[in-house]
Amino acid sequence: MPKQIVNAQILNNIRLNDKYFVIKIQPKFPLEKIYAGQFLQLEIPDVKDIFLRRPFSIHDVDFQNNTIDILIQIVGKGTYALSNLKTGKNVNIIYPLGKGYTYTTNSRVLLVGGGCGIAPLLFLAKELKSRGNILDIILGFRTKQDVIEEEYYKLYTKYIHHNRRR
Amino acid sequence: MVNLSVNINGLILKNPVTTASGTFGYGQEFIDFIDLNLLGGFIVKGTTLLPREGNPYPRMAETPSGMLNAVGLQNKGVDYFITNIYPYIKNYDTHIWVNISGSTVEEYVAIAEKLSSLEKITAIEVNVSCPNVKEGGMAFGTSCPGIKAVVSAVRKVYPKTLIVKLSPNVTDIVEIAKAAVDEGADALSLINTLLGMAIDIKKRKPGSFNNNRRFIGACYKTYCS
Repeated sequence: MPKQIVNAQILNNIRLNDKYFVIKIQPKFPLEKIYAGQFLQLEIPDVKDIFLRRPFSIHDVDFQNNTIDILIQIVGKGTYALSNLKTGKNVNIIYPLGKGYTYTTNSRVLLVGGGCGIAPLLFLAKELKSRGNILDIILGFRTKQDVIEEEYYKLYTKYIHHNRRR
Repeated sequence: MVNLSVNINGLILKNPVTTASGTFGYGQEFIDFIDLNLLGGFIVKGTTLLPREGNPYPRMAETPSGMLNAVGLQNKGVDYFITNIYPYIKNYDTHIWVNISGSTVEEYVAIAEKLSSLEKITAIEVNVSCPNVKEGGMAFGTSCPGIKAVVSAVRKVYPKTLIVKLSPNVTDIVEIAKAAVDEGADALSLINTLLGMAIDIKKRKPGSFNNNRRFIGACYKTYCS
């Protein structure tokens, strides 16, 4: 699938807790075909000492509304800057990158992820479910406060298993 | 129509726009973004005789005005290039050059010999910033004897355009350049990356990786001007 370098507008930027946030972006052009497990490289605007794009898994895709969701954990100056971006701001992205996951059909699939590692699993769950697969999903977090987006993963499975240390 | 062609010691490029080694992979990585046929040429990433894994991670660090990198010439080797890459890039209507690196003079010669038979490789760019393992790791390009040894040996086996990419990490680049030309270089490319270090002023220490790091970035303009 061809890669693009495009501007995308931030439609919303939602803080989930003190660690995680989700931004929804809308590229200027119709979305390319995206496979779950692919990622994008995002240029952080307006910060002089941030030089490199940041790579993020594609968390969810809405082809009808032409939007991409990105789940981000704040770990440094780049992700902190992103957490403060306002709705309406434009960001530049290169996507879709990587090979992505291989989809199965009509199978039983176990998805396992921990912390921000759950990010690519939401879109994967959506795609697998649409292909007749039955899903079990295990999400791991350090603490109760870190548990995020459970309600979204529950859309694609009867059973979500938590594993948290405390 | 403006004539943008350039003549590099007999090698005619339709325009002076080329992509530097290490910035453009093998060219194909960018076909979604640019028509490679429009380029005057592109220089394939640093290629060694044998495959190299490169340095262990971390090998890249961001700084306020650029980045430090010490990738360590990660590549799959010249044989892989000839078998798996060259067939897919040779039909582009542009010049394709290969940047070559070695740990010994013999390695440079061996790579040059292998590449000399590839019709669409119209030049090689010799990276002389590599450490000479037979001379205690001193880079070939930091001394006149070192650069003479590499260029003269490669010149004997490579009949096409020979470009030498000079290291800036020298006291007098002019004498190094003259040595390369005296031994048969058709052209010089300047420069390989500068050595650099990023210091955390709060910790009063260098950053987390510090092995043979090279700096690239916007402040290069200040250095070169």
